[in-house]
Amino acid sequence: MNLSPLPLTKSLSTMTCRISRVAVTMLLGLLLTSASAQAEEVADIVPGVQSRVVKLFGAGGLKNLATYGSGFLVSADGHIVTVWSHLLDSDAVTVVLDDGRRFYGKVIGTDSQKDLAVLKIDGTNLPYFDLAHTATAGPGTPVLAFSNVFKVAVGDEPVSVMHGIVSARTELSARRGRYQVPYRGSVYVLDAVTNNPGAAGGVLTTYDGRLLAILGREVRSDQNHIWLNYAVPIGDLRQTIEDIVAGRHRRPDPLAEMTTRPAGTGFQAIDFGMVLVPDVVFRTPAYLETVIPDSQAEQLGLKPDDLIVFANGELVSSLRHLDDVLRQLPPGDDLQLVVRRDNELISVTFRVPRQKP
Amino acid sequence: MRLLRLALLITCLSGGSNASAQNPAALQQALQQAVAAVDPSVVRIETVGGADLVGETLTGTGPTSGCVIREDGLILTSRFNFLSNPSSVIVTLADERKFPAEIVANDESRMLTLLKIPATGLVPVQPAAPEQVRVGQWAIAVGRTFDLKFPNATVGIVSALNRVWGRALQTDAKTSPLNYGGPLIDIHGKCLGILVPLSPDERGTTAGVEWYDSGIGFAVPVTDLEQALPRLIAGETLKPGLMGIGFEDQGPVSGEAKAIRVRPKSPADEAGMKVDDVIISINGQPVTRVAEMKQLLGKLYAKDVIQLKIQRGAETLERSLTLTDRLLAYVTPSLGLLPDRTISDPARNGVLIRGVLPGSPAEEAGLKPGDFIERVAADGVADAADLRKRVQRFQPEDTLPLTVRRKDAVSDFAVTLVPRPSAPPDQVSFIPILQPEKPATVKIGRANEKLPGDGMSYWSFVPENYRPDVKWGLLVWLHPTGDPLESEALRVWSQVCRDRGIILVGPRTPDVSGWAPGHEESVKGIIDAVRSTYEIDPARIVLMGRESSTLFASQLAFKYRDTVRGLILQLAPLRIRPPEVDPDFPLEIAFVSSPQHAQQRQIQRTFEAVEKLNFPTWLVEQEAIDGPPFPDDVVARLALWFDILDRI
Repeated sequence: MNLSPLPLTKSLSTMTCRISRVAVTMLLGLLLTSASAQAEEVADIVPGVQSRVVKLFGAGGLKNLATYGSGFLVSADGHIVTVWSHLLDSDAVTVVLDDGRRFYGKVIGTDSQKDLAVLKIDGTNLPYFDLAHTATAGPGTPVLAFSNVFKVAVGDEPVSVMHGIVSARTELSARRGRYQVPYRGSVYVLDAVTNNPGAAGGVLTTYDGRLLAILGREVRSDQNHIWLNYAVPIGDLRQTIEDIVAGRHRRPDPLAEMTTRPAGTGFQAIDFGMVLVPDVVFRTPAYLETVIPDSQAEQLGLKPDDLIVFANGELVSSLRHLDDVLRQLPPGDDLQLVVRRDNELISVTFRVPRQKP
Repeated sequence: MRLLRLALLITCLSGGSNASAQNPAALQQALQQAVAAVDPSVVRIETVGGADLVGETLTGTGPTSGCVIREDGLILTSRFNFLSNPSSVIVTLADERKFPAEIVANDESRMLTLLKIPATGLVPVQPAAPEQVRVGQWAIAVGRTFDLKFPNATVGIVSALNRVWGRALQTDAKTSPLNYGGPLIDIHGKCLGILVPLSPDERGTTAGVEWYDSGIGFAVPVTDLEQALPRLIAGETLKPGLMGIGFEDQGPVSGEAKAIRVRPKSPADEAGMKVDDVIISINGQPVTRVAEMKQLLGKLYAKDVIQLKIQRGAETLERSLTLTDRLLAYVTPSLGLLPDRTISDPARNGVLIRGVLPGSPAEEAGLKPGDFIERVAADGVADAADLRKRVQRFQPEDTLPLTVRRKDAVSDFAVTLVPRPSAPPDQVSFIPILQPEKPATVKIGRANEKLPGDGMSYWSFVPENYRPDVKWGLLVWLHPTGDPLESEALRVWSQVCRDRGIILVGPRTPDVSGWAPGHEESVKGIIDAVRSTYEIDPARIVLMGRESSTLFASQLAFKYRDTVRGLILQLAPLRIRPPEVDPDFPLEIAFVSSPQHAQQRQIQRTFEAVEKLNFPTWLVEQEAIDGPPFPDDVVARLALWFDILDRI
């Protein structure tokens, strides 16, 4: 018999309480069977994945920065992908394979925007992840995470395995202020506490060992300040990795990038005919104080005491937040505001002027 | 969505048809179906505006989750989501429609908030049958914070039932601000409870948040909700129910529920309960230990009526009482004497008097330093802590008979207790601490230390006259942002430390942005580290903050009430409401104000407000603020205040 725990709970719940003792006994028996079945399946794929994940040791040691990390092989002759970090600041990074073999890795390319680095070690016939055969996952997918978290593994010990599910797929937003999320884009959020010192650069796989994503760093959410466990989908990185391996990767030109980024145009509420209440406390809500006659705001029917709650779909948590949004508006675009008046939400769309008056 | 639910129903009915599913793929499918089933009932909650008093770090403005519980727009969520008293609440439904929400009522016991939005035709969560909830079954915590289209889910099992004094079920599915307020569901998508942060040891909206993502999460079970909902819908604020009885031993291995205090005008007092009564049953459920009683009371709210069975001597009495949400503020009774701090032979019972406060009942009754109290009300007294506990059983104006040995004569004194004054007298004569006879075996003098583990660094000063046979006070200096004032603090306070027997420590903020709630545990760790090395008097552990660090100091003092006995706030008002006065966890607050300081009026106002709450508090004026940061006269007054924290 080969049952997973899942249907057990189902069948259990259809039983009545009177026979619960029998049910519990059955449940115990079945759980044992199913647990061992699952353990077997996972056990089968784990060594294969572990042989492709490496332990990294490099620079660091100052200010609580870890001197160790994780990475994974993407070619038989020793290309290793990891996150771009202080660890790589030394001339050579020590790479230790799961069988204890020790190599010195040289950084052959980095991409700070993808938060990615590729190392090369002198090896042949190494086990590796084939980037042409990876997987994607939706929320609820059970996953395995492999990394040398807290450098528990040393020498010929393989890296640690954790299990969890994909909690959500979402966009990482940059945090204003104290911490910066190094990577902006789509990530998997995990329900296991995977992102601890040394884990960044490890891999996330499906239960059958297919590569899903690279484990991210330790970061706090920009919204509620809790630590976030995330991994970056390998599909978003594949092109960059292949370019670096093939030697055709060009670092993005920082100057060119500055000109393509939409410049802050510095619009203010007054440019739309709105005068907001004075900003007095840390989180003053964005209430309208007055509406300027003949302005766009008046034409759109806004009234004093309207509370602006969304701007272009983004929650406006305070006056300062609204200021930030307005300052970044591209000229000629639309500005959609949702205001709360009494117990009603009203949506209006402004036209952003072509240039700042 | 309806189709999906139908599909799920069919899977369920067919019992174990997909039971042959044997791999993670089947688990994945079941999880996804369960989440899909509850999906239309999970909403996103966002808040606008709100007070800045909850600190900058813990709350943030991120979205949180809620649960539709009635088709006509009733939504239940966690109180955590409204920490900052937002001025506006916006609810986004699964179909991405947005509505403004009104707060209907709060449940301050189970930390829930009921919201109403102007919408109908919503899909409420389906409750799971409570009698079928079992420890070990799948539990999925669901929120809607990342993506509006898909709820975020974490998976675990039900870890325990009836946790946090009977108020919650426990799960190892990860819970955090990302899903507080959302439902905890079973594998069929039925709601087991509403996710909330809770803590068995503390109260308050943020209690339990430090356990986020730890594998210890809580949800208020649906059965409890069914009882609370009609009252919440009627707009009633639900609060924990209190009887007004103090019990001897609060610990987990506590003994019988014997009253050591009955608060005046409390429900227990009005029902005629007396000190030494033992509660043996509540609402027909037997009670043999204090913990069992708390478990039964934890489920109840103020205004609930309970039936008590009481053992009084050989008699068994029955009493009915209505729980209250508020007790008259506790007034600490005082004798006005200072106990000796020498750590003596535990076999030697009694309390040696180190000092008698001028104008106190002890002085009026004729007690003198050097007297030795042997008995209180005819019972032997073990030590100072025992004496303090015994005195607290009485009320001001009660007269306490003391048996006192002076030299070789034993005589009886009657002392009439008064409410304990908060302000220190102008002068107290004290016995200086003698130089130790043996060299100390622990580190003395100025030192730089680092906490193992997370590595918060701190400096410490242990006076050269440290001796381990005397209990020492502990002053924790929490420096203002960007200015450690180390040499100043050390220069001014070191002599006070020698004279009054105090160890001084100064934790350092890990970065320039100052103190944040995340540092609370580290500072507590420093206190614990000092306590494990030196003989620290539990009655004299004091936190001192200045301007920007006072908020953090207050949060810390109110959070670790079992540790902190004094709080000094220099040149800043108190920015959070102090907790109720609790005779088991005494805490005194000293304000330092100055007519030159910009916030003088606010300081004065909060001082008066705290005083009005009957909280022991005192204010000392500093003449100028452009001189040295710690003027000698102010420090001398604070030293005196500090030195009599252990008065009885």
